Amino acid sequence: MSSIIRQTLAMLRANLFSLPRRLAISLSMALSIALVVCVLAGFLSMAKGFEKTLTGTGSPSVAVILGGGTNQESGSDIPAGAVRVLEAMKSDIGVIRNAAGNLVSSRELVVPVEVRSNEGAGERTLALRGMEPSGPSLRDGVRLSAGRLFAPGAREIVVGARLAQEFPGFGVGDTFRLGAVDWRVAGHFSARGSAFESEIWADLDAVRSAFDRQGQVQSFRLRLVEPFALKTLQNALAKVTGTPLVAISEADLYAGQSSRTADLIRLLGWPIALLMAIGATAGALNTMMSSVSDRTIEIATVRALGFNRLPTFAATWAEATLLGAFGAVIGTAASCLAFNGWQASTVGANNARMTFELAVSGDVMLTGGLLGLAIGIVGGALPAFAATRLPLTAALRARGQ
Amino acid sequence: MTFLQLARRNTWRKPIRSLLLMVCVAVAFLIYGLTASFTSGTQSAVGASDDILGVMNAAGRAQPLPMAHMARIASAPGIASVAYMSRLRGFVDNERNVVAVSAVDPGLLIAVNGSELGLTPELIAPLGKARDRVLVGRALAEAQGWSVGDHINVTAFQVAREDGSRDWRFEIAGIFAGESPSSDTYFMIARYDYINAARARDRDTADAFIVRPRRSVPSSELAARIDALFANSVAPTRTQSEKQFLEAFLRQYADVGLIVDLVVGAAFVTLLMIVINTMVFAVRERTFEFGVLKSLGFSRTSILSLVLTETLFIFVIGGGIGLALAKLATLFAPPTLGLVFSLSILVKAAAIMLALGLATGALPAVNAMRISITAALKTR
Repeated sequence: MSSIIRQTLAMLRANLFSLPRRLAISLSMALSIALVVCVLAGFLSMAKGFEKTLTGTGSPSVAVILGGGTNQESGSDIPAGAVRVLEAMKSDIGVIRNAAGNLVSSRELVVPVEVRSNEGAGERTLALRGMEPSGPSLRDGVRLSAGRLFAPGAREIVVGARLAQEFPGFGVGDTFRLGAVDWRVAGHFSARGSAFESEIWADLDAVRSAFDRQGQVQSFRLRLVEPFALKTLQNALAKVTGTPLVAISEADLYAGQSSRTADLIRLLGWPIALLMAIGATAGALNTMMSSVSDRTIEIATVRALGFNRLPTFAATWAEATLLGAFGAVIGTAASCLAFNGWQASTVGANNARMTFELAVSGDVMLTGGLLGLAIGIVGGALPAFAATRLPLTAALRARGQ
Repeated sequence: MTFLQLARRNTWRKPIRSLLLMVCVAVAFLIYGLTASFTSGTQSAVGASDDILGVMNAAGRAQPLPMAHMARIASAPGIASVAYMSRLRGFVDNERNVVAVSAVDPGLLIAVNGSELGLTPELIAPLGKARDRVLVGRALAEAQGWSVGDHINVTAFQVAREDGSRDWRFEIAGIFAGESPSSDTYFMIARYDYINAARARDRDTADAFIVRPRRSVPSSELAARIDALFANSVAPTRTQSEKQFLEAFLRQYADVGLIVDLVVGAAFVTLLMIVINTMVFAVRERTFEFGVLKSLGFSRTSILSLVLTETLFIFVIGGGIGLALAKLATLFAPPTLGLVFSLSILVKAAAIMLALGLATGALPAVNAMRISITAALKTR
């Protein structure tokens, strides 16, 4: 047994030392594997980044009430009467009240607005959210990075930090046209990279009047005593007659939005990556067959010297696996450098633009790396087997100078 | 033995190697074929018209325009016909199943946009029988399994009825197919008067006016003229061609073009590297044979073309298989993806095939051509 291991090691060493002879073709195998890994990692990191942004948005201790048989903000509509009924409830409904015994709440409305982007070419649809003055305090992790909040009733906006970077004219103190009227930029807010940063916030009544949505309420946000108090609130809502209302936690609201798009990105990425992997496997097979044919005489010689078939197989296979691993490492390293932190955007909830950052996380790298390694292993097996089957006499005659 | 026979024998000298190369090439062209079918499909702006203009509110496409604009647009010189429409987005059965309804005056629409949508007077005639009748696009009808005579219920996201409900009932009166497979038919056409009479707000407004310029009038000039008409009105307008609008709209989802280019680029780079290297290797292995051929009197150019023919052979067979698979995939893909494998994709792919075949063959072919007879014969 130990002699087989020694034989394997000796042959592997000879293999690796002969690599410079086939440098170009071996490099091309490693690079093609690296490219496959990059493509897969690109798609997966996009899906991951999208998920990360949305799951990082929202808090489990904030409840969002929606109406109209939907669990999305767009399309939700809460009658003003229902809000008043809720506000009038004096019993415990699981939400925090202020000193005066009133609910800590915000009625909100999202309006899509179009804004010219930096590049000057296209228009982008952004979400303008009208909220009550208590709205910003109902969001965890949000802080002002510049300026101040909008004043109640005034036509002022606070802009997410990401949007402010991306669009010209969102400087603090600037005037910006949204819809048919001008707004003054009062400040910027940051929210730890969450989806909130892709929004523009303004006073509820200012938004309603500017966009002719008098009296409309899309969502009603409340701060819960504790995350489990959501059940109490849901029970209380059942008693509000008239329109059916649903309460979900803010965290669930945003997490629910992420799954579909993230799945779609993965659904797009996997087939492409697998197709490319098939191509790369064919390339790896070719490379390793060339490697075997390049070493025909060496292999035949050591076999004639009494080396076993197994070391011949193992050495060639190990070479392929090493090349595959090398490619996988280059691929993951390159995608980590290239994609991590890349700003991407797509259309999120409310049909408005949502910016997110690509995230090459550990499991993304692992998945990509394993695919690369698998290409090397699969592509190396057949040629390694062929190496053990070399007809010795014919092989030794191959170069009779 | 003719030249082609020689090339073919050379290719099949190591059949597995050639087959594997063909697999590589097939995969790259399959990816190319699929992505190109997607970008030229109904989910892109390719099928959109450059001539037809859409007039929308300058404050954003979600803001309506007063119907009074219609008469002023119609009186502008250079306009062949104009129609109005209101958009209604909603869902059927569950929220994921989003459908779009365009509420129009069918008579006006057919004059502006009839040929692009594949509308005929016979097709729109049944709409006149009842106000809640709709025409459904073929792609939408196929995806939902609807047929003529079905009653459907669309729950709108925004547009509410006067009684507060957002459910709109329709009866399918016909199915329109669009001008070409690239036309987007994933929507339905309803009667404006039905929706306008029942909706709670924005009554007597339109989301867009659709304008067809006279043949001799350039659409970009007309667009600027229309916007000038309303520059200082209550509702200033923004006029764009259908294509411009769609391109800008799609770019918001993702820079699809960039992603496609990157993926296709990566696939082709991989392919090129593999094929060039394998061919260099294959030629080096055969150096002795080239020496023999040369000493038999084969000219340098015939050696060059021998190797080039071999790589071209691999590319044409492999690429052909890849494109055939792509075509098959477009036939079986769900209609929502809207894949269209057009003739122009085929032509482009064939051109890429030839170019890559020659490019990858060039290095090994020149190597084979350059080698001297004595050096070649010494390798054995």
